[in-house]
Amino acid sequence: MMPSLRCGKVPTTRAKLPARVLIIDDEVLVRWSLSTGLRLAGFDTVTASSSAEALTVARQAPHPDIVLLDSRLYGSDLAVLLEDLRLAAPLCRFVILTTSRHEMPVPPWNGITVITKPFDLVDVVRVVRANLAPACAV
Amino acid sequence: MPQDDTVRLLEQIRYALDQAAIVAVTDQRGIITYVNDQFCAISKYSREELLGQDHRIINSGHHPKDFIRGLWRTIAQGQVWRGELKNRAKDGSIYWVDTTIVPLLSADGKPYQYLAIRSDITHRKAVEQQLADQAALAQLGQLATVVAHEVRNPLAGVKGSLQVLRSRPAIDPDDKLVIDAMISRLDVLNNKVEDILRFARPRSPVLDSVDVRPVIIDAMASAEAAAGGINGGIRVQESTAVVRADREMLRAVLLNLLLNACQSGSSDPIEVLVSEHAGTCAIDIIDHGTGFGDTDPEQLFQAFHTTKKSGTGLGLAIVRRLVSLQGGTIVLLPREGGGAVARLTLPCAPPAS
Repeated sequence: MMPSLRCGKVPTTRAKLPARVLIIDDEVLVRWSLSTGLRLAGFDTVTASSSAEALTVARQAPHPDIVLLDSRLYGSDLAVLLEDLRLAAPLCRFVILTTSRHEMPVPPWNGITVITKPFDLVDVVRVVRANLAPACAV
Repeated sequence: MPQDDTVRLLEQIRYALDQAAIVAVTDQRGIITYVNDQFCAISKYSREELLGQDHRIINSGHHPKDFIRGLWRTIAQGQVWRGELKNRAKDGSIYWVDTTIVPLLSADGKPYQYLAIRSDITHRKAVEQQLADQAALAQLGQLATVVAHEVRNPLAGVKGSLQVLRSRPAIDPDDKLVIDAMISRLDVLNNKVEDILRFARPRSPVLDSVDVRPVIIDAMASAEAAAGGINGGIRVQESTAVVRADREMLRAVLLNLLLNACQSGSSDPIEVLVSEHAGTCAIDIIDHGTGFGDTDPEQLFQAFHTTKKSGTGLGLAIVRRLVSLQGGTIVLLPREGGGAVARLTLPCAPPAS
């Protein structure tokens, strides 16, 4: 029996709004399932299918509190995109989604949680909560 | 030139040839009439065992019949044949020889005997094979990585979406069961991709001094848990050894071998024996099951060869890959009295300084 996506407390920002998650992936079903699953869990979500779109969204207020980022986004370099996103939303946290843990270069992403695809939505919700917990007012 | 000098010169040439090469002479039917010491040394047969035989005595069965017929056609027509031959020595070991066969012709132009001059190229062949294997595996690794990404990315989307649909409050209970079944199939599919990646692109081993006994006990507990209890249980000998290995890889190898042994169809206990000889540790995993029948056990290590209904046929191929990455060997041997022995060898760790 899969635990419900609805249980558990949703971290909120200082303005008491639900935390905003930016989902960047070029697979539409990945975006849809993560977005719907995280909304069911009480988060505010926004999606992007390319690095250009992701940067536009990240620069707009309200900035995302956390980004779920595909490690092999079509046509973009992970390291460059990560750096640009950090500049666009300096307080933002990152979770990387990858199809192969082995291909992840270690040092630059130290401290960033990595989730392997295919994932369980409950695990994603748990990881997002854990990453936001220290930064958010409860 | 006086005849004495000619004879002496021929003697000297023969002496030089014997020093340089593996030499045999046969009559026109291929019956061996002369072998030099080098021939005896490489074939591991005595001169007495070889004389009067034909070359089938060292035939490895590697070359197709047409290849051998072509060789005979060439030399029977009085032409020189050159090529590489794979032979089998008396002890069953394999050796490769670069071979030149020169027909010696009688006055009427017909061969009356054949002079075969060979040199040992076993090492070169092994290196060539290794390079070819490495190149093939590197390509396979790249292919597997791309395929894994191409499969897993949509798989992630489909699985996630099914989980969302499944969590809808109004979902029909029967539909929920179907979705559960779909999700479990996707997990099976993903595990197969994982298996292919593990075979085609294993990580580099982190070699350390590893005491094998605790690793065996650990793998044994996992095997018992995975198999839901093992009929006869597993008996591990008291002895142990410290090897140079990657602990996690060694554990994965032992677990796989133990699970194989569990499926051997016997209710007798599986035995694990550890022994040490000349700097090498051997771990034998012995079952009393049905063995491999007519199957050549080497075939079982081939990727995608499977005798089971479920499974990718990669289990033993992965085992061999992981073992060779750690500088070890793995073979399957028939057990006397029925059953199979999986013999894993690993280099012993150098004594702690």
